[in-house]
Amino acid sequence: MNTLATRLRDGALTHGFPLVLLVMVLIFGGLAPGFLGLANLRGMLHSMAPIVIIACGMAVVVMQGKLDISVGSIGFVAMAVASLLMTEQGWPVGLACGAALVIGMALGALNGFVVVVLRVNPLIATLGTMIAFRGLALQITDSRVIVLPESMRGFGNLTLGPLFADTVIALAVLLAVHLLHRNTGFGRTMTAIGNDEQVARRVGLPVGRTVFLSFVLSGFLAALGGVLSAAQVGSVTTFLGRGLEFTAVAIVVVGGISLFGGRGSILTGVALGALTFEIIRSGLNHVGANPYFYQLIGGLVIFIAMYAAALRLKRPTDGA
Amino acid sequence: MQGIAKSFGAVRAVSDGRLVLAGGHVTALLGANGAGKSTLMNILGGVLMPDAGTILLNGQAMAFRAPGDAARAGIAFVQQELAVFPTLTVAENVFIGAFPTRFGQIDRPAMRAETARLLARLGARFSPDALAETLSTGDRQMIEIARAMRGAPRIMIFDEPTSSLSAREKGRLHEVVASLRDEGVAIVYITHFISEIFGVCDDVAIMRNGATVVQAPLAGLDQRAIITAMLGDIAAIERIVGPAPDTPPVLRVRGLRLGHRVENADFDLRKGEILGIWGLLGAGRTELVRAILGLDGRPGGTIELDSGAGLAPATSEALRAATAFVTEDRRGEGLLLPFSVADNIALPNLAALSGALGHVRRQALGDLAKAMIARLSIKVSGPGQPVGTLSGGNQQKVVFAKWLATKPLILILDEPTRGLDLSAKGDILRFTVDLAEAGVSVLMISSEPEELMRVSHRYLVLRERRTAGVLPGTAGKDDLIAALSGDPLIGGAAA
Amino acid sequence: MSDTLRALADRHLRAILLLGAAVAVLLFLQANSPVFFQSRNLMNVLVQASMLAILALGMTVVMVAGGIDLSLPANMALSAILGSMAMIATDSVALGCLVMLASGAAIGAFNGFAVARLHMIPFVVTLAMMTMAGGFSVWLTGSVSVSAQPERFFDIFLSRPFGLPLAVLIAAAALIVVQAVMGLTRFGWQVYAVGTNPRAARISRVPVGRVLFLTYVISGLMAGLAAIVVTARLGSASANVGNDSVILDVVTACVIGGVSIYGGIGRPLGAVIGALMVVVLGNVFNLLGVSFFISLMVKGGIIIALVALDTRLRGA
Repeated sequence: MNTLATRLRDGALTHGFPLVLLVMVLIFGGLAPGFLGLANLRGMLHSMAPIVIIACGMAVVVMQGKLDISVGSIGFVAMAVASLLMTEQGWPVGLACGAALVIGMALGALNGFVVVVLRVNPLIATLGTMIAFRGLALQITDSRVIVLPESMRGFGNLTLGPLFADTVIALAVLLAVHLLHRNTGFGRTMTAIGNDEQVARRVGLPVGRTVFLSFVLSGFLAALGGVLSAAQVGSVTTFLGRGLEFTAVAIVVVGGISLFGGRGSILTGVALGALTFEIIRSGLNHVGANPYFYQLIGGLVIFIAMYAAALRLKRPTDGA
Repeated sequence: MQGIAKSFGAVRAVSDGRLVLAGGHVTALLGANGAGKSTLMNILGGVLMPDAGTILLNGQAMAFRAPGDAARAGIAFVQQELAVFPTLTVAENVFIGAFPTRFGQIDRPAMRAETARLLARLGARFSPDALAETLSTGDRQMIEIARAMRGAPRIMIFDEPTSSLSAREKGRLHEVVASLRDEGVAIVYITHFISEIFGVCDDVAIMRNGATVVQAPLAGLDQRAIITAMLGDIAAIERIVGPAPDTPPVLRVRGLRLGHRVENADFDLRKGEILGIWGLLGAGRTELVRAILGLDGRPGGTIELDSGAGLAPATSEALRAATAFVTEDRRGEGLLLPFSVADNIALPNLAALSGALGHVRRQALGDLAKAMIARLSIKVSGPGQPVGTLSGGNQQKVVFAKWLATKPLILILDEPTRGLDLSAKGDILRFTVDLAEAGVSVLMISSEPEELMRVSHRYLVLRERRTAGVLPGTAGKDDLIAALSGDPLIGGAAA
Repeated sequence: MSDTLRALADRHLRAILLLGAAVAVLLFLQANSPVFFQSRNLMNVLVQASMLAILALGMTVVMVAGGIDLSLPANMALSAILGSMAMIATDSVALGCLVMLASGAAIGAFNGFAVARLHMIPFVVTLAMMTMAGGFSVWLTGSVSVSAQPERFFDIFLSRPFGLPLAVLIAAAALIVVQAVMGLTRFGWQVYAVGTNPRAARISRVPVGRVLFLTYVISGLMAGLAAIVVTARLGSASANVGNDSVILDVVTACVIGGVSIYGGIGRPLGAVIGALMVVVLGNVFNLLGVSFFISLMVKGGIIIALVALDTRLRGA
């Protein structure tokens, strides 16, 4: 049944997305000079660094067919504590950030506990922790804005050669997580669980442990993303991490990583997804469009990506 | 294995399991549904622990508390449901859970080489780097066998390995089994395709009702002897139906085909008769009825239905609307366990029980439920009792009640008495007879020959996915067994 | 079988625990802040709870069928804005209300279509809708509240027939209607069936797709109704009405009210009681001087605890 229509559709589904991205870049470039410039590219890579890192953590969890929507709140709590340590307790910046990462892992472990041991649906579990952690962070900071020390701000805008430091970090994380997924037993087990958790158990894979550790990793990366995000801005506000979890899910969905688990490439998926949303944001900015348009388009993009994914799954599988 | 016994609650799965395996031998393990083969093998494979009995490996007593123990003792179990992960490569699937590593990362060259070696031994020609989802079922099975071979096992158990394979893939599997045997592995080959074991297996062990009844070399046995051992002594059955009605057909099936599920089916179902589908496991009984209802896709051939105005071609939708299908899976598909008896009975009948405003007429629902409870003698404390708390027999009666209320033309029963106690079985059977007398036409599948013999007006013989004729309800057990073992369609010793 | 019996007992245990907790809270209030029970305050609590109760009713219908609708508050905000704009443009209160309801139902229909026909995951569909509706709201209003509704609108919806605020009566009416639909109609039966076991429901000739679709339309309609109530109370329509914390409150209300996120269990009355408890809890925290933030932590903890209990009961 290889009609032209079927072939067109298949082609669209496989290659359509990068094409659409290309079209968007051309449109924005055409409408606004400066969009296509190297300076803008650098700027885009800079501002999307934190979300790339957080999305990597999300991808790890999603690869197993689970969700973690508390990542934004984890980033907030971790950074809140770190910022207080830095400013009020006089800790060295590096140490405080290290503490933030540890806190991220601890909160991730809490998520893992609720999902694996209490066996609560991950969506609801992380919905609950999302609220609780945000409350914790707001309580700790007393809802104030905490200005970070100069060195932190400096780090946030540090450049290494042509790129910003945090871009390099984001790339490193992206590569590391990708390698973890592709080349370690842990990563392959993650994919197996995403394919079929019951079968994975039957074969004797350490399902509980793997899921737990992936939540810890997600927490760690969420904290790292939070640190970088705050460093860019130079302060910790109540908006830190707000809505990041949904953006991270959107990136994962748009990047072709299936929410059912087991499918998709972290490297290209997160990169493409994050790039998509950043292009939209920056493009709208350059064109001088109403910034609120961003949410509308963002939602639309998610719908289209999901629809495409659903269509792809409906195609009859070969063999068997 | 000696004197193995295992019960699940009140159900005695295995009462006396025995098996002797020798290296370099292929032993077929046969038995009807529920005979205990899977349970016995699960015990050998360490998935279950026996209540009694011993397992001796090279003279040493073994106790397997987990699948890992059995695996370490050199026992590999290739299950019927393939445990293959679609988005992992062949090599990754083979080594999942036991990856060779170098500096914390997977040592891909080593893994690839070893996988290639295993695949070569199996005569498989696909690459270790292929994604499992691109491979056919037969190839995926090779992956699972390769995984089983990873630990150089001394005993390999194949559970229904050829259920979903094409003829060519079956041939290849048999070659693999032969080569494994030649390497000295002891192989257990569980199957329900009796014709297959000739030429592949050296001896055969047959289980019936939880006990091993015979284990003997295959030479000197024919299909008929095997089937007789499997079915056991079919006692003289007291039939509870009258003579077969000679009524015009309500359903006429000609040339029905559906992929590999149904090769060909031709038969008539007469109005008010009970047609027992007579065939061994694997003959395609459930597949046939599902194909008639179009549940697995549109079948080829013609199906005609008489809904009152004579036989006319019918669509799947029309057939589904006129048919009540009591499936095998009572708890998962037949009932809503937390719901009350009354609500379950009402579910497909809500249209009839609702008023003009869309509101459910409780009075009518209650009356219907009470009527059905009385008619089927369902033992409940009241119509409001949650169906999940009823005994199996009563649950099945609720399923019947629910479909009865829809006043179907045709009733299809798939293993209607499975898991029920004797008196419940009797009730269901008697009830089916009553329905037939009231004009409902019944197609019945059962793995218990006695059951079919009690209530069938006629038998539809099914062999290897084809209908092979019809026998009268009064046929004796010899004729019935002969019908099953007549001219095997694929190789094997002649009857 | 005995497991199901034990589950039944456990469920009653859960209801008893909740009742006990509620009584304890009330007694505590009586001892520490009797001002709570003054009729003016109680009235306030009821009005606050009305919006949440209506949304929780919508969410209940969707949850019982096994789904979830994260877009409810965003739907409410957008419908409020659209309705207000219509009202201001045509000076017709009736039209404005109609637009709010229609907009709510339309958004619900879109969600329902994606879930039922396109087989998409409810979480992501309603998440995307939440983002889109939110973005659309902010874009339409330029982040400014729409507050030029005709006086008549406020006169009507802030009135107190029989001494009770109209908002409360509307919520009560919604409760009665939804309870009637869920408990008395064929559709309600089918919703519970689909949420309990969609496979068995389909085999029993329940039109699963259509049922799922309609549950989202109903929840959308509830969002539209809530839009009317909340616009009257706040005096304006703005995108902020649908902010993040509202959806958390709605889920908390449902979970407290005994609605299972796994489907098949939950009564509209429970959700409304849950909504009341959420509001009362909020008030209690206020009176105690407990920070908003700690209250967030407690809410999160409650959701997890109750769902963990639910999971245990289900043996999932």
